[in-house]
Amino acid sequence: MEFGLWKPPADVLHLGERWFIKLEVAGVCPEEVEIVVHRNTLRIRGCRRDMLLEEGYFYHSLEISYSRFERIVELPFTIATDSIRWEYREGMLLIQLQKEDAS
Amino acid sequence: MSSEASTEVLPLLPIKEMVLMVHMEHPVVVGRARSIAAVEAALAGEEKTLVVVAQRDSAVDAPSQQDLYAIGTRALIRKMERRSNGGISISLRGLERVQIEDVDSTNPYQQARFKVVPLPSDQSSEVEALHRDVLEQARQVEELMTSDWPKGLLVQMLESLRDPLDHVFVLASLLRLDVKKQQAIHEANSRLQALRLIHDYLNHEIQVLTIQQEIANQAASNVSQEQRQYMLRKQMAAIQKELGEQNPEQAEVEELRQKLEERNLPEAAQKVADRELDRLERLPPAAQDYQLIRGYLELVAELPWSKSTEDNLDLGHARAILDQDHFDLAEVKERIIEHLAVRKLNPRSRGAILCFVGGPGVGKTSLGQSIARALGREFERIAMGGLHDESELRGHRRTYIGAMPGRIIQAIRNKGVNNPLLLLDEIDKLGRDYRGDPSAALMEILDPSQNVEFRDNYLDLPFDLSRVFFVATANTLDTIPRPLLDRMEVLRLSGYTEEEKVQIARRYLVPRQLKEVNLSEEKVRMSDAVLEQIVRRYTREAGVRELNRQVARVVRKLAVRFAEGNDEPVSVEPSQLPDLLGPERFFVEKLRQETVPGITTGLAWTEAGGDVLFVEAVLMPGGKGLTLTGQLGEVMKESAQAAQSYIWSQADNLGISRDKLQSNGIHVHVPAGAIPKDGPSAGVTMATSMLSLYLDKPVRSDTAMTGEITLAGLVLPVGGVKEKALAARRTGITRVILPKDNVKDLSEIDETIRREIEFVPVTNLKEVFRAAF
Ligand SMILES: Nc1ncnc2c1ncn2[C@@H]1O[C@H](COP(=O)(O)OP(=O)(O)OP(=O)(O)O)[C@@H](O)[C@H]1O
Ligand SMILES: [Mg+2]
Repeated sequence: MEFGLWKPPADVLHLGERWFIKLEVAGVCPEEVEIVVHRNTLRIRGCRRDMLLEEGYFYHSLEISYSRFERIVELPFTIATDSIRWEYREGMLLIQLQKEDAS
Repeated sequence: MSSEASTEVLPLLPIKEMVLMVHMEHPVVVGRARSIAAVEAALAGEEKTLVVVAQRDSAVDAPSQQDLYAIGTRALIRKMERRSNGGISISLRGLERVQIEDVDSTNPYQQARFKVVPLPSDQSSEVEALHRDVLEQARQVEELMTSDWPKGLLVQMLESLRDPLDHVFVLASLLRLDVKKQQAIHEANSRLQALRLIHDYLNHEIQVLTIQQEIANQAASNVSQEQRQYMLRKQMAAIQKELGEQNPEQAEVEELRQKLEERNLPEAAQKVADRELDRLERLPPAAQDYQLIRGYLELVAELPWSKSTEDNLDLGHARAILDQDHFDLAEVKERIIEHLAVRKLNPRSRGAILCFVGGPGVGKTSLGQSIARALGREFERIAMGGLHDESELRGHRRTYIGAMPGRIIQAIRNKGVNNPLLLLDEIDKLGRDYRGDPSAALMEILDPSQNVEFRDNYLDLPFDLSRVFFVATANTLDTIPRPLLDRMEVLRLSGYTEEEKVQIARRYLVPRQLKEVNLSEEKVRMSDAVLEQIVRRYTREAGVRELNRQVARVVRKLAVRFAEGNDEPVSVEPSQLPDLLGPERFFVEKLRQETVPGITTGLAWTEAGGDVLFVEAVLMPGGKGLTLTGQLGEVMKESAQAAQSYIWSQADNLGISRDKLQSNGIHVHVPAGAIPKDGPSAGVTMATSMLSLYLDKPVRSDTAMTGEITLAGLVLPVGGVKEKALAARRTGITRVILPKDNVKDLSEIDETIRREIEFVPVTNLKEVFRAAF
């Protein structure tokens, strides 16, 4: 069972000191994405709106989750708030960050 | 995001018997037109969201604002699927609590103006204490739950969540609380209140479960497992009823259970039914399996396991009924009476299956009906024609998509008794192919030593067919597999003479048709002269089906006149028939009853339509080679030569003596008719004529043929199959041999003709010969 808003799947990976979080959020408008950092957690929120919709379209079946999403990712360290960079590419949101104590 | 004051508008979906709580996901089946429109509107939006609110009273079909609770849920349509009945299955997820300000019902769907009501987030030591208590209760409930609940799942689920409210919501949906209680939790304006509510409900649940377990423990010592479950279920139902805690699915399951109980199922069936009921209870109604299992259980419940009608074995009465329904047929009726007499003497002896054989419309089907009437049995006809797949008789396994029981079980279910008269109509048309041989299944169905435990694949339970009265019909015996034929007592109905048809019409068909349109017999007179005219000029058949149809046409036309005000009795004159039935039809001279060797009926096609043509071949002793007469076109001459070459080359295989070939010439003549004669399609006909001549064996007179041939004896497709079939029918042909590649053209042909004519597809001349003699 899942609860609440829909949750995009996320990968967490790192290259040495640099950590990446990859979120599968195709169709999400990047301007609306909100990332909040608190200690070792990231909360990513946004909204997927059905933009391919035109007057008179008629759904026969639906499996994609629209509307707002929320994803919380926990990391094994405190996040350096100012280290966060992100970009949206080909339906993926790529967040880059570093540990706080890493200089 | 949404500030507290702002109001929004979204489509409104009222739901029954359930409250969608925030963060929970629920399948919902939407069927009401207005609700479907609301879902469509939500799907047309960018976010696929709508407002869901529970109905106060689920009996209200078009709820207005007063019929709905004021606090609902903004929900996301997570998944959607259309159902074949026009409804929609959706999966809804609760996003936020909302307060509905007002409802606008002017659209095809309702719209709600609403304000978001955030969930409470009060913290206190009381909240914390109560929360822990509730989790402890949940653990207990899970402990007490009967076997079917996966142990540990609930606790695990709760552990994955942190918010006490989420815990409350999960528990509330698992406890299957009624709407009122669910709504109270949904509306709670503090965590404390929500926790208190769920605490009470859990307490109650624990009590119920404990009582249940005590009963179970007591019972375990001296009753079997099954009985125990049965008792428990009864107890549970009683307790839940007492507490007014039944949700609709449960009620449905309960209803099924009751229906099944009343049925007095055989032991094996009861066992399976119990197992399936248990499964059903555990599934949410939106699950695909839910409908499948329900459909299955409904079948089990509706089957007449022990219900039957009483036979009337008074032979005098039977005779009277048979006479009432059918003219003459004295011999057949007598055999039927004998058959019934045997049954009367020894109800267990089930002797052979009666099989009526004869041309179309001679009364085979209606005799079956008549026997049922005489015995006082239910009657059902099962068409065997074109049945290819043994699973049509025996059903599909339930794992198969769209599985259904077979025709036999369906028929018994329709009739609601386990001893109907089942008429296996046209068993000679039973197909056979890679999908399995239905005749083998039929054997088993008819065999008294096997059908006591007939097993339909879908039902997957033995069902006793031994009390069914099977009667079969066929146009011909040729295509009935031998072992099947051996199980049957064949009664031939040969067809009627013109005089008999007139009698049948006067005594049976006319009165029946008049009754049909509510006219008394005094109102309409149809003299024998008129009837004879109809028989001669408007029908051509061995039976009386077409006659019946023509009589019906006359009667209907007269009925219209009466309806328009005429009240005088009418006497139909022969001269009025063209008016009533259209122009008379003149038929080609009747096919020679006894054909001599060398004459074959072919089918030709011209712009003017189809026609029959006769190919005549004679031996010319002392002569040589092939002589062709009858103004044949070039192509047709070539076909004749090809036919001759094939026969000569295959003489040994065909059993023709060399001597006969060498000492005789052959003369093929196609009698001059109105139609020009050319085209390759007479190849098979010429070859058949020649072979018939050499073997001195007449060709079947009920059979016509068409097809092009090659020197190697292959049969190639031809044109005009539809017209040819019509021509064959006009002249009373009942079998047509045609190239296999033309079988696809048969779909253009009228159903009735396809039923009257047997089409024999062939790929080579050998097959033609096999079918022609
Ligand atoms: N001897 C008869 N007396 C009275 N009515 C008859 C008689 N024979 C046939 N009929 C009537 O003719 C109609 C056609 O008969 P029925 O349908 O039983 O023919 P059938 O032999 O089953 O033909 P098919 O092979 O085409 O199915 C029925 O309405 C039937 O009642
Ligand atoms: Mg029939």
